[in-house]
Amino acid sequence: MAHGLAIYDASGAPRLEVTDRITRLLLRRYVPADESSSVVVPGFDAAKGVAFVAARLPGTLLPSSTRIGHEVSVSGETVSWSPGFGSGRADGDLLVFAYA
Amino acid sequence: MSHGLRVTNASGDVVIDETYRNHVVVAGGSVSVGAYPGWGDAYAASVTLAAPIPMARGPLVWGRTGTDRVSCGLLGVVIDGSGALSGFHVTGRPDSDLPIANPAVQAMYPITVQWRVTALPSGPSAESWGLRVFDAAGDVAFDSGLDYLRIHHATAGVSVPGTPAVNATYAALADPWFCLSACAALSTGTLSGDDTLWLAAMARRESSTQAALWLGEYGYQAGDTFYAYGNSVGMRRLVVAR
Repeated sequence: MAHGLAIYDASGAPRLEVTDRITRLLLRRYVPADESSSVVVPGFDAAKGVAFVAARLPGTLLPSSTRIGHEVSVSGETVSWSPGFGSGRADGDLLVFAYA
Repeated sequence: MSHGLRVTNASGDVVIDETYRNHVVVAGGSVSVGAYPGWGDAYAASVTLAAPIPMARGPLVWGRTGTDRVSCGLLGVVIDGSGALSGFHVTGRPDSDLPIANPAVQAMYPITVQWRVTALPSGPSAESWGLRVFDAAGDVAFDSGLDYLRIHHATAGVSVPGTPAVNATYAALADPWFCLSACAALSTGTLSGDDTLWLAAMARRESSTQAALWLGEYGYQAGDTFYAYGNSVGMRRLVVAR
């Protein structure tokens, strides 16, 4: 490594170098089951990041119908979400990450 | 930026600064997926976390099986009364195109699913030296003693198919983690009056450069020899990490 930043642990093993792409959390937001909305995330670039809703599927393993979280779409810096497919809606957590 | 620390990578993208926090690995282990007592004919396993993780820290469940064409998926999460993730249920499916009702497939269980949970850190690491950056609230923004999440690839929305098909291709990665929280979906399919299938979105490694997100069987009732049942669950994302 000719230049930049490198961090090592006590054994000399590299922990981080500037060529790494660790993941930064830009936004976390709770979303109710039937909510449709959007938010502007300054600096978000879909080519270098990802936005999704982690559905809080309840712990009943044998559903009687489709159970899914929100669907997410991105346009520029605007992240939008809408209730997922099916009748078993779930609330969840919107997370927007940058990883480039 | 009038003060603070900012580290950019070779592409000019910010890797560390004092504004945004980073997800870290906060728990991990492995679990054996087999016939699950008390849940009909489902193949699943439960994980109870040693320390519940507040949902405000954005916990995510990741999984992998370490074997090509062996799948894993998230069936549900357990959130306790204080609003913390205290456990979750996972499923897995062997490398077989036969239906789960087939005894030959059932004989392939149990399968091992490795899991880990990432979240915002609760505090600094125990390391006595290294680099540590704090945000304006005094929370850890970066700590070189923590094990950071490194997303390697993420798909756009994928219409999850009923049979495995490659829908993620990326730079070679030997043993990727899949974000089961990002793609979790459950569905019930019924092919005849007494036949019921329970399906879950599952991720599986196809090779070192490809993965599939699909809707697979994890439970059945009546036991007829039916095949994978396609059922729409809308669009999900497959997120791959190192």
